[in-house]
Amino acid sequence: MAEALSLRSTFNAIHEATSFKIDFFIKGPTPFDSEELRRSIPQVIGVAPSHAVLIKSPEDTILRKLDWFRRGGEVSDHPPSPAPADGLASRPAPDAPCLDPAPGGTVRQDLDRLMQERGLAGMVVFAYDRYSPALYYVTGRKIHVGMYLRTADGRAHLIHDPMERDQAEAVGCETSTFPQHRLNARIDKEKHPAGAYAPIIADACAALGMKGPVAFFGDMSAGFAHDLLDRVTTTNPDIQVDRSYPDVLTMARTTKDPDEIAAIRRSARGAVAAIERLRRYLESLKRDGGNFQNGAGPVTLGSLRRLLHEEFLVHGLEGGETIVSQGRDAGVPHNRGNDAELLRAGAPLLVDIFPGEAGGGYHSDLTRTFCLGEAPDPLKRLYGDVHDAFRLAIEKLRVGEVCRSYQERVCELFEQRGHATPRTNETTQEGYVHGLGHGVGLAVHEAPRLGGPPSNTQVLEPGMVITVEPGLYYPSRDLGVRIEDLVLVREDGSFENLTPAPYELEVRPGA
Amino acid sequence: MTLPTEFIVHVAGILERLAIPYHVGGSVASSAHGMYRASADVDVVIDPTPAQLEALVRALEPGFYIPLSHGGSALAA
Repeated sequence: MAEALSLRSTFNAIHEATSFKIDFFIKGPTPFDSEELRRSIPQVIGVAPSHAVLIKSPEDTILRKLDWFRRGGEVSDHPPSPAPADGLASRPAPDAPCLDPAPGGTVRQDLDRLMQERGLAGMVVFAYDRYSPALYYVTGRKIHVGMYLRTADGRAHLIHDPMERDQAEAVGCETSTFPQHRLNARIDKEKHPAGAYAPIIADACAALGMKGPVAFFGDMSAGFAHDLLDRVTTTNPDIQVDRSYPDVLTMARTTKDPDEIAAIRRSARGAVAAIERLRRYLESLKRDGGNFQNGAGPVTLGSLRRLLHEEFLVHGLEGGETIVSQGRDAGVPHNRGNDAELLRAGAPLLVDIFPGEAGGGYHSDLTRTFCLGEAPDPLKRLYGDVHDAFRLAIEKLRVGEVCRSYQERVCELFEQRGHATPRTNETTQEGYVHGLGHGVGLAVHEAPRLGGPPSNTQVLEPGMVITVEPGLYYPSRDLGVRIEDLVLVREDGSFENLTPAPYELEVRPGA
Repeated sequence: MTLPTEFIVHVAGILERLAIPYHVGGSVASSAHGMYRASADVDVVIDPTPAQLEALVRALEPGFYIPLSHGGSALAA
């Protein structure tokens, strides 16, 4: 140590419990070394809002880097930093009182604002060995084992698995690893993972200065979550579990940031490409009595589903449980359809696709109803009614209008045409049997709802991405029709249809 | 202590109590100035007298391991 001092060199201190290392450098002998130390500036960092530490000045940080660069023969093994991308890679204002440059732009600012409005101390998002839309939303990275804590004033910490350290680093906030928190030793001692994770959460909340209600999010069994939160609040009585509804994450996710809209737009492009490819394929078929041939054999609904999913793959998308249903099955809104069934002439073919980014991410949603050959009159009438309702709703969309009002308008139109609706018969299974639409994002179905009970007073806001999807269903008559597009509410209050595919009901094979 | 900034604040507190001139540099300084860099370690420049250095080591020893390859004996002497 004395040698380190006399040689003006270095020594280090390693925290025994976590292996965290501090490198001490003895100040050098030059006037610059002394001036550099004198120019240090006190700054509050990370988890200690009340304690400022002395930090090397920005100018000296740069000068010292240049000095090392010169001493290293002016060769750098660090590539230039990329310019921050829109949204998820943006940085906080330079005077932000934290070590953590928040990774998100509007997304996180929304969250902080919402947490402050609700009087929350902060939030904890826990991904327990699986993709978590919530953790993806708050970090902008797909991290499968991670715990993200964020205070209402924007200080954040991510605890992660070392195997995912690259994703964790890209989040851009202060980080630590589960081994640094002695996770395995805790599991051995507690004999239960909830007993091991709970004190880590409790301690980290305390370290971040959280006191009061904290919103918790995660993807795990309800029993595990209940046990975990019980232990967290017992260990750290300063925090309570926020039970408000809708929760802050649901509210934040209701409107989308530009990068989220870009992702939804990409998914929607893939959906449109798939539905157009399907239409071209249907047109290429040859009639074989009441069914169809593709040259290799009879065409089943399963082959149509495969074709759609092939197109999703081309666009980097996954299909989920695509609906390709026909006749009676098309009359039950979420019947997925029977893959073994042969494609039939003159029957409604309902195709509802909602592909999302492969591996988890943002979705789209698009439905078209086709009929191969000439459509029977009852199907034509039904399709006309649904198309009229669709146009009525789309043309009346206005920022500031109550979302549920469009459900009312569509119900009114359908009732005038003699169809049952949820207003005239809440239990009806024939006629119009569902809500008009929903938000789309990391989940296919999310807020806002264009339907639901009168207590739904949510209004349309810029940044929302919603579906408009009226339908009429008569399974007893082998009939079902739905038309659905995905609509973006732009910042200027105008509306953009993200899924502009043709609406023609009839497809003429071999035409 | 489990979070990196907790360690920094803890060590800064010791240095201030011992009146050792110091500042935190490296990735922590870069991050504090808005250019985030992840690092497992913290760099601290200090300007202690021999007595202050000895006091620093004693203050850190509960919880911290300090490899004394350069002179535990010299310090003891």
